Amino acid sequence: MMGANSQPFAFQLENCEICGKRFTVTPYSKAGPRGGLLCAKCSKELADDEKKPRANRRAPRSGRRQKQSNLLDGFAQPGAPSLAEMCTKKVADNINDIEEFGDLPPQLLHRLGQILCKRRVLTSRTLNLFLRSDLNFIDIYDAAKLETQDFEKIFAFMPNLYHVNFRFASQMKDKVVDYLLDRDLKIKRLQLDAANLISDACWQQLFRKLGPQLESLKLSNLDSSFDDETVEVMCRECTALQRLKLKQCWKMGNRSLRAISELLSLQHLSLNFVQEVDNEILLNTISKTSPRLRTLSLEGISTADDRLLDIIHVNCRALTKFRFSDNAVCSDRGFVALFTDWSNPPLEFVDLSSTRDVDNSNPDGPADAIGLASHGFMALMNHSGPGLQKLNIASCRHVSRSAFEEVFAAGKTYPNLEELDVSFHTVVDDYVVGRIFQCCPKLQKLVAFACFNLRDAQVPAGVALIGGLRAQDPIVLEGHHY
Amino acid sequence: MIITHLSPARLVPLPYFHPIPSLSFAPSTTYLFIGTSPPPTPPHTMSASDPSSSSQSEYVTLVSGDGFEFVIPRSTACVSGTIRRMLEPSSRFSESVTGRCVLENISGIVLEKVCEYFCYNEKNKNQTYVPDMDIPPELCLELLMAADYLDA
Repeated sequence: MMGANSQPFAFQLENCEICGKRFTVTPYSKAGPRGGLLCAKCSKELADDEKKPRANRRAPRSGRRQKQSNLLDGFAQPGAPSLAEMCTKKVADNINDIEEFGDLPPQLLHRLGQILCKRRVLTSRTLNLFLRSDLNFIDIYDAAKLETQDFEKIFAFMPNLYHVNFRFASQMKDKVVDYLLDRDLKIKRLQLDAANLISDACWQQLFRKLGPQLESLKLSNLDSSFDDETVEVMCRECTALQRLKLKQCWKMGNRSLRAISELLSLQHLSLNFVQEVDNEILLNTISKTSPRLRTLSLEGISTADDRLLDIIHVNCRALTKFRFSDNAVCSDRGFVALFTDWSNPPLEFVDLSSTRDVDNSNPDGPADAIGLASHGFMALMNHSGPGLQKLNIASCRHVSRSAFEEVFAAGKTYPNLEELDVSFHTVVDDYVVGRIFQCCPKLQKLVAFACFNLRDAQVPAGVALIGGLRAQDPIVLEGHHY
Repeated sequence: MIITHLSPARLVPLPYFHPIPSLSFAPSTTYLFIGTSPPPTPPHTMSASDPSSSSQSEYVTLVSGDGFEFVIPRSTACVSGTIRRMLEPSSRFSESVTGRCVLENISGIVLEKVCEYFCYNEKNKNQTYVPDMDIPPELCLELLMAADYLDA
């Protein structure tokens, strides 16, 4: 023996330094903390222990991904989220271990439903957690995984339902509607998205039964049924309807539009037609409904012209939300006329995105500007500036830089503006954005996709600047790099 | 954070707040019971026995239903709307006089997490990136109910 720490050769027997067991030494045996050898089991444990810290030895997390993700959700408030929000997320993470929610307050239940739907984990099993007979509303933002009997279960367990909202309800069939009608529910607000297995006959039956009690009806993405005749039945039966939204219903055409003019108690109207509609019928419908309207949303109606804006100017007295997007006929002069000396109080929500001339050979458009351009924008802000909360003027490409400078000049304030979308305005640069931040003290979200002259804007804390050229860069907050 | 254990817990009625939804007790559930508290006793009947803890003190004491006490800075505790309104000097609730909030419907283990959140929130004030706080899965539902009650 040469010394105490001389190592035994391979295939010799040795006692393990840690556990004391006798074992055969191999070339893979590890040395223990005091220089002796370790048996195979202890060697492995030691190796595992060594590996662990290496796996954790990553660069400190800057959270850039998380920050960008939050920004795109329009969330830029510094500091920790609320405890309730963190716990709700944690509950959603562990949804499969939860047997029941107990007496969770309705607003938390709703938020939890939102998170689960966003993660696409609302299944038959998790649905059971939400079925409470004491509640009178249900919102399922992604019902794609629910089947016929799940829908029936909802109506069976919740007899007091008055608010029903199912999106992606692709497996909701005639049978479910029949069951719903048998249950004699007091549903007043109904929203269904992509419920394409419901036939026209069944829709009509639904309106005949529930029609008089319905106050709000929102239907979207219906392509295989819901034709003009069904809409006519709906307008005949649903006499108390205050809120109507029909988006992307492929079979609806002029007859439907004419029928809608008969709805006398409408206060909120949102239409998005797939088929092209006749301008005269549209004018007639809007002039009949508009005096009572608080919301008017018309998307993608390509035939509408300045006469529509004129009717709105003359008739509307109570409008707070106005959307008129994707149109290349209405002129800047029409918008100026609409917003000048309008007896309607200031609007709170305005979306005039993509109202512009589209002619690639003449990118600046005709001299007499088409769509919301410089003068229309100034007239809009003069009229609605004090009340405006959300404004979307994306792609209104004929608004000049001087119009932006005029609208956001020093001394002007838009005290309530929280969200502004100026995407595809190439005249918007760092100076204009700086002016916007100055003039809008409450601004939370500025969307600026494809604003190519926006380079190094100084973004105040708490404002989410979405888009912009350098989204990959670290966020700059009032000159401090984080 | 100082944690002491009192036994038995001193019973002080909680102030009654309208914004807190009143929840009914369901005996079948094992989750935290949060019920409506009795209306506040007029301040003059309160035992302001401890003269040292005035309403202006920098620290406040939160007491759990099972008697654990947590002494934390007033500013951190006021993240919770419920506690802030309890401690509001103008309210003249016993809590604002003594600087002691007894949360009878919250257990010590949950209240400890709540206090951890208060400190975590203070520490991450004005940070753009906030690392996640560790919440044990078995506590999250009870903590959620407590967060709702505390308006935090």
